[in-house]
Amino acid sequence: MLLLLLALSQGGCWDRRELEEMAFVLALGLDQDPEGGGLRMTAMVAIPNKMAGGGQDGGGEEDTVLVTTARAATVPEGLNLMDTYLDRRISLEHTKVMVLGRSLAEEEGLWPLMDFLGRFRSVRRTVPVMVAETTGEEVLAEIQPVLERDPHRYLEFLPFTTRDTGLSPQGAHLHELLTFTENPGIEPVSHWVALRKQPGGMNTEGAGKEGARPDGGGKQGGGEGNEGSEDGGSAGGGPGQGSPPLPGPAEPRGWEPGALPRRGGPNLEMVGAAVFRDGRMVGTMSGEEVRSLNLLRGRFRRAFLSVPDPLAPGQQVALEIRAGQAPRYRVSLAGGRPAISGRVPVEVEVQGIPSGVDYSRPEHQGALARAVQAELEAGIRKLIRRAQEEWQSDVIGLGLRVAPLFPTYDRWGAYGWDQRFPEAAIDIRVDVNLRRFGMQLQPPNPGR
Amino acid sequence: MTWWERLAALLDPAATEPPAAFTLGDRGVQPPEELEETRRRLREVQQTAEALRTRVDRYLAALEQSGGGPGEKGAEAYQGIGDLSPSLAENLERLRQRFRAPDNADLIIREIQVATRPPVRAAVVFLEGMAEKAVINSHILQPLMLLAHLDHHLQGPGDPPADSFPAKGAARGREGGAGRSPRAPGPGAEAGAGDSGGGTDCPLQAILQRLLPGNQAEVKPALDSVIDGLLYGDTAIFVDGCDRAITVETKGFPVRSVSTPQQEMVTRGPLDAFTEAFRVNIGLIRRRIKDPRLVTEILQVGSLSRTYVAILYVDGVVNPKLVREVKRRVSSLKVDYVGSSGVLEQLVEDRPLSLFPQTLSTERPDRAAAYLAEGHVVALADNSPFALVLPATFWSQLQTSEDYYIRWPFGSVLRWLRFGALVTAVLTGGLYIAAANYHHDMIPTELLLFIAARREQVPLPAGLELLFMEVAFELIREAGTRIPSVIGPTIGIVGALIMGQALVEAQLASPVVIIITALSGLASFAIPNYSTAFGLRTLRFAFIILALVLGIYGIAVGLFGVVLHLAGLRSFGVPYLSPLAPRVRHAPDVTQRGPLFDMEFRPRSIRPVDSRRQAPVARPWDPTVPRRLRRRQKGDGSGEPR
Repeated sequence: MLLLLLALSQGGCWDRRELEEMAFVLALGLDQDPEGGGLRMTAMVAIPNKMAGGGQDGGGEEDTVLVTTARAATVPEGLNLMDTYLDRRISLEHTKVMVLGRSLAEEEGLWPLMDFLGRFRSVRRTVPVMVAETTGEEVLAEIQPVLERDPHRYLEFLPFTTRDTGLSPQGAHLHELLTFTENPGIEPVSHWVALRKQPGGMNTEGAGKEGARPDGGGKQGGGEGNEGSEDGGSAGGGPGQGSPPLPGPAEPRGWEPGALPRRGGPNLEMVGAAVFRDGRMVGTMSGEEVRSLNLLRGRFRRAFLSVPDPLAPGQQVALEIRAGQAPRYRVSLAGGRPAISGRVPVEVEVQGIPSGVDYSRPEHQGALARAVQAELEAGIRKLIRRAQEEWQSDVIGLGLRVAPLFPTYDRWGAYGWDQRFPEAAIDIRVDVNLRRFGMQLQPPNPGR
Repeated sequence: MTWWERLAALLDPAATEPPAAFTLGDRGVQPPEELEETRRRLREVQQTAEALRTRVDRYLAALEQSGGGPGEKGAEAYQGIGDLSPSLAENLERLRQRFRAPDNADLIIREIQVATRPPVRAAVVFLEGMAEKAVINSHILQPLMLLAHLDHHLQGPGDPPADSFPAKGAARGREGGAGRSPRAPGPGAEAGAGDSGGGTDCPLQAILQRLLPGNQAEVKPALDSVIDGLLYGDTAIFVDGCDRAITVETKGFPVRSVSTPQQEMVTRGPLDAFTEAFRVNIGLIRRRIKDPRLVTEILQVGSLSRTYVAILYVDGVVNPKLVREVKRRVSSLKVDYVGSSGVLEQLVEDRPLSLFPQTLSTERPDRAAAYLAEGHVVALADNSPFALVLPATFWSQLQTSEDYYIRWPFGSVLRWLRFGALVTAVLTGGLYIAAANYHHDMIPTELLLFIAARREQVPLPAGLELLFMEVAFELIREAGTRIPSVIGPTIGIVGALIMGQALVEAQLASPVVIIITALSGLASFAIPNYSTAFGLRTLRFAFIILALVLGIYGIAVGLFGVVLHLAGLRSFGVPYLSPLAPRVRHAPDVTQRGPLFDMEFRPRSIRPVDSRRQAPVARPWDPTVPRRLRRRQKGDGSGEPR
């Protein structure tokens, strides 16, 4: 009996904590300390009393979270520091997102964090990792969600939208970042966020006045990611009467966070991805490139896409593309230089044909399919070119396809895929299947 | 005595001392009353010995008279030889002594003259309150006193000659009783009547055959068997000069009529329930199994209560070993009082210390009949409106008879729902405590923050809060059961509404805890079996405490222990978790309720001697039945179980 009790007590969890004695960190921001040395840690801590919606007073105006920043050499030390001035024990069990500052990601990289986060039990490995254009502290402190009352919910749900847009990497969570960094065959990407910079542009209050708010992004001029601006404005809701123009590229080709052609809404934008190599951020990719990346990784779900109308120049056809089967790759190492050819099946559903061309007819279907194929292949080629030349980082994970050709892991490691990837000959073809035409087969037939 | 003196006397310990004149003897020495009782016992032992000697003497005399040896019928003949005296006065005196009359007002002795020629002195004896007086008046007293002198010219082949009414040895060698009560401990009285020859001019047989129109009347040679009959509402007739007595069935004690079930409600299905009269209960079952192989064996349990326990089974289906074991356990009981089947259940179950009942008690005759048809044994105790089904498995505790009366998909869903209720009833509280105290990452963030916000205002720690609420819930439940029905609604309102409302408003308990308490309480009431629900409710407290001390680990340890215990439990030799553990072939009738045509076999776990319940094709009219099955059925017919 005594033995039984002893055995039980040895295995028990003796760190009992009442819920109300805990401070739950909902979002964690990590930045490089500008003064050099150490981390700057920002925690968004829930205030359950305010958050549960049922305070005694109206409750809506008060902040439901507190954001605090501390400087420390390591993450645990930072938590300790926070514990000294927060009366509750701080816990990372419910952390929803991690936001890294760009400078931290570029200069120190993931390595210093990775060891800690990999060992630390209470951090969930499914936490999405974002890299902020400025600092994580700024994102957490300034973020103003509109639809959600609680900022952590906003941050939690934002990465989910990529399922429908394909514009942000799928599954860029902590675990993937850690494993992909260690895997020689693939390099990770993370979400890429930025705050919009116009002050007071989109406040949380005054949703009714939103349309009348004049100070859009007029002074912003182009933004940073303007390599796609040659297509800008063609379909993006022409400059109306009196309404200020919405700058920024109209097509996902050039969409970068912080510079989307839009007005109103929350002040955070998440599109594209931060690209890593050897645990260090080496660049960013645009929304369209991320979509191609998702397609190539086999992670793509569905997205809307507009392609130039092949039979009516100047017009666009709106389509929804879905992932078909997983992409197939064929790899050969003959001739010293890896040659990879792949086929990416894609299914297409027509969403709208403004030109009125009846693409459901067999003789026109091919033209539309070719247009889609050309559009997607162009995006893919661009991504591969940038990956090979600019970042020299195999974010697509082609290395995982090459690795099976080696009998042992050591041989594969010795092959040095890092160096071989930039010189690989990569040829990707997209197989387009026109599947559906929406609720009606033919375009509306005016007047005849 | 002034009022304050009276008041002071209430606080005065000396006032509670018993007066010198009266004490029950609480001061050490053995009181004379016990000595008196001991003496009386000794006297009774002496009388018993004398009675026994009388019987042995008569037996030997009968043997001598018949000339032969005891033979194989010796024991049987001995049963027919009693210890009653030919003297009416002596018999009545012994009877009075046994019944403590005249102190005991219930023993009614009516001395009469039987109006035969010549008249015979006799006595009609019955117990007040147990016998039906109208029957005694019209069917016993009237024929004996008024009609006996009428000439009975109707003469049957078995009758004694009419003119020799008080004939000597009139009924030699003839069957005595008009109907044998199943309670008759021995075979018929004819041997004694024929062979003992004790009463030289005993008109008993003639009275029995001609004058008593009661439908169950029999000759009893021994005083003890007469007393048994009296205690069960029979009327005894002692006739002067006869060393035997007649008992006539005149049961007439108050009995509640058959009414609707109080605990096992159904929406679809029969609405009759067992009552306290076990003969009625047996009838309710027999009405549902019209097979001559349905056997009712009756045992007596309890030295004081002499409760009749009926063991019912379908011979040819049930495993005879099981019947033997049930009978062995029931008849071996050495207790004084068995008031109800609930007592019997505790006395015969394999592990009385377990939290789980190892018999299935039901108040529904249809359910008992269904289990009989499966090959179980049903035990009915007198004065108890509940039948015990033996053996019982864990799964049967979670089933109701309604599962079979509705169509199978819904029956299955109901069962799954009950499994959900089982888990909810046992684990909700513990899981909440474990999650809120140890494993904060188990709860979704929003819910966690909501709980935390509510908890902030509650002064008690979560575990104490939950225990407090659970105890309050049990209080309400218990008070609601015990409360006199006049003020029942008041308790409902005070307990449930006002207290719940006040608790939340005073923020002594968070709404989450109230929800959890209510949920687990509700779930425990969804468990159809009353005593299983009790066991589960007790387990719930154990799990809360385990979770409080050890977290999820504690719950895991507790679950392990409970499953271990359940797996080791046996009910009348049948593993409690069978047929799932140990796994034997079974009809889809354990965790789900399959369509009826799939239930071809009786439960293997109770090893019925006839395991097939129905033909392989239960619905031969159906053209969609595969022809292969149909042909097989036509071919060998029986379809032995593999």
